Amino acid sequence: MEIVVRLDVVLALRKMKARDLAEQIGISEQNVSLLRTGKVKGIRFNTLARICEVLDCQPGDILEAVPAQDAKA
Amino acid sequence: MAYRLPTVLFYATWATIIAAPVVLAGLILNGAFAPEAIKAAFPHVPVSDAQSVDEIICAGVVGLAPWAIALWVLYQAQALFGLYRDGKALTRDAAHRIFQLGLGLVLVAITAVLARTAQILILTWANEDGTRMLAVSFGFTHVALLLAAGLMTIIGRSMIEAADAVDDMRGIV
Repeated sequence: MEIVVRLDVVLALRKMKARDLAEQIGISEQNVSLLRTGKVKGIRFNTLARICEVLDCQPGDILEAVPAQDAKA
Repeated sequence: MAYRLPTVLFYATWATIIAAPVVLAGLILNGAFAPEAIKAAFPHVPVSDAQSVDEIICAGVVGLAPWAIALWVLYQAQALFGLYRDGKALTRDAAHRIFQLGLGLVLVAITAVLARTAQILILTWANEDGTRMLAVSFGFTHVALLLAAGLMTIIGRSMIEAADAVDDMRGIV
């Protein structure tokens, strides 16, 4: 299994820009970009909590566990 | 022109590494490794006339062992100062160099004791039974060096752990 980040989808649904999210949760735009593309090793609980608070969603809306083959597709 | 300390130390260690073989060659040329000079360096050791010249020179060469390890320690030091000069002070590589520096100094302290013991044994090997010597000298200098080297090894080990922890944290947002 692999963890896939669905932040792009949630941002699109909320019609919010990555820059605005970065500003509201207090992390750099570069880190948000890395998170969106899944190029991070992990996410802190407090970062996740702030994202959920700003986007009004649950962690499960942002992160999804998928089989390894599906994740590469 | 202002020089930063790590840069100065980097070049100083390199200069010492390069100078070491030159100094050794100078000592050889000045007869520091001649049988008489080696015997004179051990005034309290009764060296038999039956002792061969090769064995006496061998005893002198054994005394170079700690210096050879010290040269390796210097090489590690120049690599560490090079990393500091490049602003890579808190990296795993720098931590590993500190660990190796400590380990090298532990080896220098141990080899210094063992080499002198071996030198005395070699010098008295041709003596008659009952007059051969096996002497182990262990002084405050060796203890101090061992303590400092041990401490440096532990600090290096801890820094490797810290660098690994930082590496783990990198990439977590």
